[in-house]
Amino acid sequence: MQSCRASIAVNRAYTPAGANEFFVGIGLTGTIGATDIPVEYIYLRKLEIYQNNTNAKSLQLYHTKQGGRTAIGSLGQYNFYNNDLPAGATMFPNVFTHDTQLLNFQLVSPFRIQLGPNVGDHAHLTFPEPGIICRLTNEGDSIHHSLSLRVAESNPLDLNITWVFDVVIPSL
Amino acid sequence: MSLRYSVGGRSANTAATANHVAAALWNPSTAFNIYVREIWVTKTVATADHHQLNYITTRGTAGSTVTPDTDNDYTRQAAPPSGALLDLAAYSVQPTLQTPALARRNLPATIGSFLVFDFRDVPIVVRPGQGLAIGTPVATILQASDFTFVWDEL
Repeated sequence: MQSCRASIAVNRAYTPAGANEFFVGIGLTGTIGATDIPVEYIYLRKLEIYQNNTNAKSLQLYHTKQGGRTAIGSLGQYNFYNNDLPAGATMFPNVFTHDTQLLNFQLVSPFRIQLGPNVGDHAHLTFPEPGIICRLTNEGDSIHHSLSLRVAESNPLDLNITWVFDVVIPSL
Repeated sequence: MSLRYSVGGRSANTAATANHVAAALWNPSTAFNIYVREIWVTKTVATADHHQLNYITTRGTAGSTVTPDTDNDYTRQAAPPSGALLDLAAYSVQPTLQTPALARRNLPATIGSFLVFDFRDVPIVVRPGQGLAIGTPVATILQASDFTFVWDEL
């Protein structure tokens, strides 16, 4: 087993359809193919969120699964800090948006934070080793899991979000 | 024990073009990796802007370059074995950016507002013939800023 640090960043700027909408997440999708690196779980180690408009936001992180979602970014070689993975291999952790409410989420959020109403207000969250786990699937459960942020307010959001995580890979 | 270096410089404005680079630490070595620990960004202009962090795989042509020497070694013993260089905007030829970005942030319209990209626990490896760049992810000028890169070698 080997653990590799990686990060991926996205901007989400849109108006939620209603209160308490999931708007961004990171997770593992699909099935592992012949050219894929067989990642089965990741650990979230840092989450950095930057405010880019003047609407204060109340944010919660949840363990989620399934539901409508559209991938907006996939890891590549240059998202890994050791920059030493096979070129052209497909990685499994995807950052994705949610275009509908997720079908299922755990009821207790690991955290809730309040983001201020000024451009540049930010939250840097650090999760000591091992971090917060996200599996491809749960034991006895074939549904793909993710870690997703939910926003309480329904007014426009514009956030820059960086997910920093350790990818656990059986061998390289 | 590895050698710790830092180098700082001031960029000019980028163009208002997405993915234009404002500053990059370039590794011209054919033998040595560099291990980036921190990147500092300080605004010099009261205009909001955006930042992204990406690997680059060609150097491009920078507006100016700072060449670290022995004085940039925290123990003041040796110039960087890699020959690492700090390139600054405005570029006449953009570097080749690798996406998606490793990190994204933004700063308010306040002179002196400040960012630290922190990789103290797990450094980012920059291999020979590659670099690590801060640029604008959107079609907005990344304003003239002070950049400092902190890295280890050997």
